[in-house]
Amino acid sequence: MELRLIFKNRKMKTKYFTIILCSLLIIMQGIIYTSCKKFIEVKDPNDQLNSDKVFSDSSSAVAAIVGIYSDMLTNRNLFSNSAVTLYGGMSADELYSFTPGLKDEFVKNQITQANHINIDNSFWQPAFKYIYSANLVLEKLLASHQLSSSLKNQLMGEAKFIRAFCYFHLVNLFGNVPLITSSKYQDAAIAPRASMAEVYALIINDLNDGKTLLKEQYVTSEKVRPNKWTAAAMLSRCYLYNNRWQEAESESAAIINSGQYSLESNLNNIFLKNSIEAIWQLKPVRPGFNTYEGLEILPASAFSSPTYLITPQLYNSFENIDSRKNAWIKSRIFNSDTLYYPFKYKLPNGASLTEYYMVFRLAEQYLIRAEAELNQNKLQNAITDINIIRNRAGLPNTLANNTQSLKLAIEQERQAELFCEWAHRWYDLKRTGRATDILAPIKGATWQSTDVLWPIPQQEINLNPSLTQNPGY
Amino acid sequence: MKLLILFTIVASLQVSANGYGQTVTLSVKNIPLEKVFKEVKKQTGFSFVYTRDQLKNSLPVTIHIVRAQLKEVLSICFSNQPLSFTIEGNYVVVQTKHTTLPTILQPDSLIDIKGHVINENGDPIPGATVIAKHSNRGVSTNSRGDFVLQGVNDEDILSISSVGFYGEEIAINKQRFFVISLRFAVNSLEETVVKGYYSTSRKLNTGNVVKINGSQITNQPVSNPILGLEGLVPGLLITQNNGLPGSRFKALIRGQNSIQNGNSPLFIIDGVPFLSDNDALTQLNGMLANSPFNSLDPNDIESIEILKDADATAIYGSRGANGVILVTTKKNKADRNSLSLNISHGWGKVARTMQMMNTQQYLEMRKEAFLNDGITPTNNSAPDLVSWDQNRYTDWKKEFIGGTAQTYNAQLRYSGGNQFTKFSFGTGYYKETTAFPGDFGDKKTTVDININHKSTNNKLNLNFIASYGYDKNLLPARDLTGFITLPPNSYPLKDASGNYIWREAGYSVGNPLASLLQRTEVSTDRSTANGIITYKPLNGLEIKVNFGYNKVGVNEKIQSPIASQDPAFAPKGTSVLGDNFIKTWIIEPQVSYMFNLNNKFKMEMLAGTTWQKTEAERKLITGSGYTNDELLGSIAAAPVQTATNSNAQYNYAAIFGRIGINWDNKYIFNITGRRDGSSRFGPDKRFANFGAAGVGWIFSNVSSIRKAIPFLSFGKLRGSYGLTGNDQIGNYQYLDTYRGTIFAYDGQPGLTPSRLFNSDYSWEENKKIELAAELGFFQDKLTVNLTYYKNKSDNQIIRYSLPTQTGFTDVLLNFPGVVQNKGYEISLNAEIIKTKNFQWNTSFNISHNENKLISFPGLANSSYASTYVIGKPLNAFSGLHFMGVNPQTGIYQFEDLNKDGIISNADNTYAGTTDPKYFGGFSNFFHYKNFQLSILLEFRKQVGVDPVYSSGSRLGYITNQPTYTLNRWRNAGDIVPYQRYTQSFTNSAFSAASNVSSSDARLTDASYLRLKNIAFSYDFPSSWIKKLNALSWRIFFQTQNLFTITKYKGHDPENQSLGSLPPLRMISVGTQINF
Repeated sequence: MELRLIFKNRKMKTKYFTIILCSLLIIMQGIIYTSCKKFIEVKDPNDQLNSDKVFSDSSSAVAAIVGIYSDMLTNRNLFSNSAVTLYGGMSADELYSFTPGLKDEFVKNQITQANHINIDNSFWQPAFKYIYSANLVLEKLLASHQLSSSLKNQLMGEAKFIRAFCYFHLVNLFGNVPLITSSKYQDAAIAPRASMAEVYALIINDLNDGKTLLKEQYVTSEKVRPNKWTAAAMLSRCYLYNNRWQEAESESAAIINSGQYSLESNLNNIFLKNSIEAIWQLKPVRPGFNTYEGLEILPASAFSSPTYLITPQLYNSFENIDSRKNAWIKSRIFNSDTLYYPFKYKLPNGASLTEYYMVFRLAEQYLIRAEAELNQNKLQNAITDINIIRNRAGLPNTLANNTQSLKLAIEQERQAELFCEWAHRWYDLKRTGRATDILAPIKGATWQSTDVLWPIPQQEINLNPSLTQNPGY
Repeated sequence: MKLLILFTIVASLQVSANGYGQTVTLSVKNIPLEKVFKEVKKQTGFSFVYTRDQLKNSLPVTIHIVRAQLKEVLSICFSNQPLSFTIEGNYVVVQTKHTTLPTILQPDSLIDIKGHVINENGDPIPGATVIAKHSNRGVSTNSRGDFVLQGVNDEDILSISSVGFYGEEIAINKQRFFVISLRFAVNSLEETVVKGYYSTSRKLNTGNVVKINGSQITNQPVSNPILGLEGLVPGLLITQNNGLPGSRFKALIRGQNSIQNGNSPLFIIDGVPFLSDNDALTQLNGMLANSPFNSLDPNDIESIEILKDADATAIYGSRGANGVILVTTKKNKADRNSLSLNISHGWGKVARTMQMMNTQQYLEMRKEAFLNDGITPTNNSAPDLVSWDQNRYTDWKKEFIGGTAQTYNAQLRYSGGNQFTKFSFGTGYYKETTAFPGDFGDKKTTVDININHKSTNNKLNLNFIASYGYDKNLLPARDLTGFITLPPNSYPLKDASGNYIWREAGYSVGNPLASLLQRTEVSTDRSTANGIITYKPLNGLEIKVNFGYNKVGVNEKIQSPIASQDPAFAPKGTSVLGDNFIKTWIIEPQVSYMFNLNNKFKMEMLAGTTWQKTEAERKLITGSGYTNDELLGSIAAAPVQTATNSNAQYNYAAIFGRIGINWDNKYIFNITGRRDGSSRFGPDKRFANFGAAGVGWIFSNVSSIRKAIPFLSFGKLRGSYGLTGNDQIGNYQYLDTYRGTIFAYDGQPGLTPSRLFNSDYSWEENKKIELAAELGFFQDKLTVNLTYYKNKSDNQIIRYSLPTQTGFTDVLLNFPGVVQNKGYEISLNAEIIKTKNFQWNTSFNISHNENKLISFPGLANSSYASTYVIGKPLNAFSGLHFMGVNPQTGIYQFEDLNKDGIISNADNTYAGTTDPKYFGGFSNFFHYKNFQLSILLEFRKQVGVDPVYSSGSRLGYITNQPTYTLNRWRNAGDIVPYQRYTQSFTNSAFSAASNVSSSDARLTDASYLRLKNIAFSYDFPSSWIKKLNALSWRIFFQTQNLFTITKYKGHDPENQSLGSLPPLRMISVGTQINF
């Protein structure tokens, strides 16, 4: 009996204990439930910054623009970092690869589905990446209220300039391309190709905005971020490409007359940093290196060959006493062959940064103005402008004196002055309709008139069925 | 949340129901004593230790008693019996009363003996039965594993047995003190299996859990415990990446579920989630030689459990989709002091390589290539033919990977304590060198301590484990295996005065020896601490809190001195320092309740929550442009410095529960569920529910079936179905952010958009179904498990490819692609011979998994069009159809499937998969007196990557080739496997060589049968050991990868890599002594 009683008491005790315990657990759950959601909140990572925060502070907003230039120069073979020069040069009659067969698809204009991966990786993808970045900056700046209007203007001007710059190369390489003006990927993913006229309309519009938004002075002590004249320099080129002669003339004249730039008399100094001729230079970002173009082209060691060689056509196109031939072309005897390679940039690397990547320079503006003047029948003005460039190269005045001969003189002068720079030759041959005339004899049977446009990367067409392919591919 | 509330309500309602208690209610009349034992066991949970022989003379029992104390009841039951009893822990040990002794024995020949029974790990076995066979005297061991047996005959034989172990018999033979080691009975159905938060027995398990005991891993001379699982676990495919010390591995349970994201199982060490091997701990080292598991010591492992089906893994919710691997480290169960020492030394050599051409063969190839192309070799195109010594020969394979790797291994463990507090302290050292020339290798040191305390009333239990591992891995920056293709008559790499030679006759093939100066030093620190507090306020009710902390820190140093680089390029030195820390802490409060209704209905309930935080932080600092190698140690001295860093936080919270029901040991139900929240998803997609149900029917407990099939000793059918998830996608993918650019522009830091922003993705969902039969025959001497499963993975998180006009190549989203894995697993265990002196056990397992991409909307127009094929495995290879060498032209030819006259990607067709068709292991264990031998064979039926065809090796170029490629086309009409030699970069043979690498010739048979492991050991007889005052002393000999039978033409059919060191053949000898 007694035993049972103890037993019962013990049981009672444990029963109460359990009830209390379980009630505590139930209360705990309420706490758990509310805290669960809170618990799994995480702090933002320290190496990433929320997009809205980026544009609430002036230094991070600047970084969002500066980041695009940095991206443009980070890797080799980006369109903005030697690829336009090299691949455009090979597509035209300027360059070929030292290794037999390598990059023949460009040299022979035989780009196919299988070998055009470079086109996607080096041109299409990075250009659209920078366009996306520029679009995002434009949208975020519009929404931001914390930044001063002068800073906003500067950054918007740069974003518009970058967008125009990317589209300029896209439209020249591919023809019609999708026109993306918003960061919304759902819309961008299905955008079809817009006509070249629509694309140029956007470019010219962006550059005119850029001219208004940007100041005449550079934002930093160097000429590495675009100013008003940079936008004007590209605008004059776009007018020229679209045969808008008068506008081209007035834009280039404004730059020439701005007094901010003058021609560098020493040819070896033109591509140095802050050259007096430079309108916009990209400043190499990788420490220990100068321009990528130098790194890509120049021989890597005393035992190495140059990677890209100048074609005989280009080499022979120079007048013998043209000092550009000696200053900007170098040779090396390799395996008993004499190999010529571009030597505008003279350093592959080096601890000190002395060469910047020249994007716009004054000499081009003289040639733009000459061509624009010629097309408005201002022959004498054109001859004056041509001679300014010729004389600097140690050449006598041009003998051309009529429209036809001056046209060729300008073509020749553009080739000699702007060779292996940003595919000027390739673009010129195309826009002047001279590509087939000049390239067919050189390239032989492999040349087709449709080769003036590169193919739209097949992978992009696969992913966006509303894209169409260029003819001939 | 609701689930837990339900549990606690049920728990409170059932408080008055009978749990296990020490009270007994019994009303029986004239029933055998054994039946009383069973009844008492049901009511109290106390087990009875006795032999049938002991009960031979027992009397039937009649008793009527209500809620009486156990001891009281037993006293009544035993009152008239020729037996007595003692209670030891949860055991009631039945003893025969000393009455009259057999007359044949003289009283003075009777002796008292003492002994100690331990398991293979040296841990005591409490409750083991020790019987002197002739006299029928028996006792059982106490909680320390000790026994005393009085009054036995010297001639008698001791028989020792315990549940879960193979029995032993030992002649007394004048010995007075015995240490008896029992081996784990691997096919024992009573063996406990841990299913994460709860455990069950193999017999009552409704899910698929494979348990591997520590001894099965320590039998193998491996430094990474996970590598020891290869071939042992059905459904688990482990592939070692290379033969370097600390090699990483790929672990895949039942195939690849996720198209793009992590397919790694969840690893949990003592309750704390550990890194998966896919977590890139190192930021630079590409050699895959820094497995985080290498900082664990295989000798510290008690067991590893592999959880496969939904029933076993759904309680892990969003992390369980790829299976769970639970690692349990050793804990001290004994309360006597013991010291164990283990020392071994091993040697390893590259096991299997390709025979490469010698100089004569190589030059023949080169000359023929030039001849075929009609080109005269010049110094520029062929220095090896024109300028280099034509008779010089170096066996580069021997030079670079021909060395002997040495291993040194030592472990010390001291355990002790008393009834209430036990501890164990262990430390280990392991060193392994490489097969490369030079002083490279891996060193690790581990220390662990483990303390367990329980209160005198047994209600409170505290357990604490802390372990630390330090691993230092020093390897060359590049695996030298890739250099064995240097021309065999290439220049020597060093001149007489020890300077590196970089070229001869102006031609350079580099200098691999100089590249050894580029050293990669990776130090890994791992600390793990784990505490478990268990409180049992009532019988059946248990409250438990598990605290865990884990930190892995990796420090990398990679230096490229000027001396290691070709001076022609005016090289500069580079030095990289990297740091990576990953910290995880976890708290898991749990409550479980168990009750027993009328012995027919047993129910176990569990509810708990998980709070987990993981923080990762990495830094990488690079100094470059050094002009002096002496300064490489100082980043400040570098002319150019760059640095990047990042951090990440992963928070995870969950609530989980389980209800297990056992109806009369015939029907078993198990329901598990989890509600998960993970910070890896956007704010609105963070929570999801997972769960599974498992059912088991032990039909052998149905008496009619048992009678009908008398040789069937155990039979269970079970099935499970459930939903698990996968969240292995990395952190912060949903954020709309900018990140820093690598380089500043004009001195100003830049920002760039991180990704396209989508915050709407959530878990991948994996639905698993499993059906299995588990059978035991002839008293479970033969057990057979047959399993069929089908897993479907849906809602795949993929980086969906976008046209890059969007600015990026992809966006992370859930995609309605479905991946299916289905297959079967068969495992078989047999005790073939069991006699007094000889035992032979064998086990066999085989698994087949079929991976299939069921659906992928829009595949044809996606960027995956060439990667995946609907209806085929994810790991599919599509390529041209290879039609051999054209006997006329001597060039590889391919089928023009679309008949358009050209060979292009458009002619690609599905060619196969390198997923194994089936794989498994076959192990045999022999025990003869003091000798033990175990042999493990591993096999895989698979196709692999052909070394020559896959690499697009251009036969005839300035690289050496395997000798079998001499079987090439020479003359019209030759039917041979390899095309004409060429050295051209432009002819059709050149493009055929690149086509062949993307054709089905790429795939070749890589099936193999490998003698994975032999472990031989000898235990010195106890009479010898006694002189040393030791408990046991064993010497052993082990080999790993002794030989491989395969038709595979490359180095090794397992890792199939040409450029990385194949797994080594290891031989190791050692000794283990316990005091």
